[in-house]
Amino acid sequence: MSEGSSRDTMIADVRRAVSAWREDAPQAFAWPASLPPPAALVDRFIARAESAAAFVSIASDFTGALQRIADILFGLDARQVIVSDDAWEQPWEIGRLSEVIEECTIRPTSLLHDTSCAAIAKFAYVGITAAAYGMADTGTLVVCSGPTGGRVESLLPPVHIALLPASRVVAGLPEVLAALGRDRQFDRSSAVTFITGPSRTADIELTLTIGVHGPKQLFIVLVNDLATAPGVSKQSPGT
Amino acid sequence: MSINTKSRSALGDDHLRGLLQEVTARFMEKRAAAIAEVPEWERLRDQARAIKRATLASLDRYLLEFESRVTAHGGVVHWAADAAEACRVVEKIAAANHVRRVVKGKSMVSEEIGLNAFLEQAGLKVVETDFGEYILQIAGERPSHIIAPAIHKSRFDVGRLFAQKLKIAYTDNPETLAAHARVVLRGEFCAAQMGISGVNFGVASTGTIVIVENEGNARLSTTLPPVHVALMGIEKLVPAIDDLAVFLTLLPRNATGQAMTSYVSFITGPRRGGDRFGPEQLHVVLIDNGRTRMLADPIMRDVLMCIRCGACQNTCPVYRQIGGHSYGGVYAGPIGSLLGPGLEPRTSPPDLPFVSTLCGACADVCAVAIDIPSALLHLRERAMAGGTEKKLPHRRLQRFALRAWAEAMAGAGRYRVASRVMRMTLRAFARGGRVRRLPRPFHGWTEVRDFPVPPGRTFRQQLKRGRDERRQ
Repeated sequence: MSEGSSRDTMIADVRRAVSAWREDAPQAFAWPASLPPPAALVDRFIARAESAAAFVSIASDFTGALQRIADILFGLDARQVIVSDDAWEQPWEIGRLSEVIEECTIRPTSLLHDTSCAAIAKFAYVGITAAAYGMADTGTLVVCSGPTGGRVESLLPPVHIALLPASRVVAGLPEVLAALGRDRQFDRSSAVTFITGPSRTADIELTLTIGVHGPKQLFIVLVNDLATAPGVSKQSPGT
Repeated sequence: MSINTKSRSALGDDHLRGLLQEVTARFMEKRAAAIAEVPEWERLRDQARAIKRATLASLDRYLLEFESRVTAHGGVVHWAADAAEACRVVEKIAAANHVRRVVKGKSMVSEEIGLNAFLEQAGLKVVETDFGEYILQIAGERPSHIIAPAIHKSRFDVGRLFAQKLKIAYTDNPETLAAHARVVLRGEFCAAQMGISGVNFGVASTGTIVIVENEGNARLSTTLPPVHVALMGIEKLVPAIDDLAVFLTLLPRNATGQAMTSYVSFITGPRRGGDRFGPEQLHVVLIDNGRTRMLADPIMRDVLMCIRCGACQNTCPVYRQIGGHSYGGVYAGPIGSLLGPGLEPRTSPPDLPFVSTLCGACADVCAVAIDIPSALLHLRERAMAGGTEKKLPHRRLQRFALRAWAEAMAGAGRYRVASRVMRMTLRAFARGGRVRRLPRPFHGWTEVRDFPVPPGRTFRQQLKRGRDERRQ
């Protein structure tokens, strides 16, 4: 549905303004060809994410990753957490993330079941999501929204923990945008969010201040699934 | 107040100039380091330019495609021909949803259309949530920089402001001040019925709006309230998602020297059926407000390529001295001197295109390689030829001086005589090796600057002497 009496006028004005202007669309940009081995991509991802002030830990499999998350929760003395199950379409080999977290976390951590914004803002200390992709060039996570969340778990609590399979680390923007396009992710998710480090501002004298609105801490738990996963990161853009 | 008066008071403010120098220099340093990592930088600028020009040349088609994609995902597209209509559209959406409280992410176009004042008059509470904009809303000021809106305020300024207006204990620690804003604004986010945001890029092929930020306040504004209204100038479109690889490589690096900002949100429609979070309604307001008029002008249409990175402000020797407020418009600095007259030709100060040395530093750093100096010259020509010329200061004197200059430059002999007269005159006014004061009507030149005394021998005399010596 479209509204506004000015629609037709504006379109007509634009048409008149560009009527004598011919400009061909440029050819697709030739990005420098670089297809480093997945392990090198993961190293680069870690270095860049850490330089953006994220904490990265590595687990050798999914069970190990859950142990890492439990350790982080214990270390933070986190009482209440919220979890998003569907940051990406693949079910975890071990079951739904929220159920697993509920089973494995150490008391007194528990899942927050009241999902009103006010409750989350007030009580949830940690938000846990999976990441659909990681970008090695910038240390960026891609978190997608879905039925159970994705928009607030990485935003409202003071701490965000993201689970990222190493097979999902790609080189940079051209690769990740091509992959998201292939996944039809923009049709499926109302919000796809690139996250690089914690929330920050430099609005006073360019003094870096962390956690002005969003999470103050970002933990990334990388799961080394390179031996078992189908090679997402081996694809080049446009293939 | 004229630009002259405002800049003069800014030039007398050492505190402001110190801040500007330091902050803009840091921005440029960080930018240099960030672009050094991208060997294909120059090719990327050309590509961005080519994409933008091709999009603008077929803008009608892309606007309709964008509209149909937003609509297909359950969003509503509104069209606003000018500022007043844009404000009315937003107010109508608010009224239809019984909105009393509004949170806002940073949006330059909302400044351009004067949205806050309009909504407040309609009885709504509007809260700016970007930390810099929040500071300015409390201070009752306008942003003075495209990406660092409160660049003109020091930590002490903000500390005093918060102590005075928010009645908190004085502190000049940025972290404590930001923590205070976090607590206050969290309450606002949860209570607001409407969130308003700007748009960095609109993607025609998917109907996606892209918002680039560091704080997370744009994410909060576009996620928590049940209604999200996105304000978007019609020039913000790019054809496809893949094009964003080019623009998202350029924008954060050129703007803040970051390889990537903390958050980039790709929003396509409102929450899907069955989703637990996200707004129930998404409205995109497409705003013209002078843009099609610029689009019709073969030189000014290039200004519509601007992606609002602010690099031209950071590098501009004039902006770095006088700051954003001296320009008197919504957009300051080199790009502001084009956007102001382009978008608001009637109300924009007539001398805006003249507030530049035409040194070209802005064009060198522009993310989309806009030839800003040529466009400024174009506007100057228009000002001298058109009706706005009358409002320019010293126009008679300027005309006379330029005519005299043209006469003097018309032949070698005349030039020699003229330069000798000039040299002798300037030397006569020299005191202690500098020309510090000239009599009327040339006093304006020496009011804010000294001249070096011209040397006894001219360049031509030295050249001739050198030749003679070589011959011997």
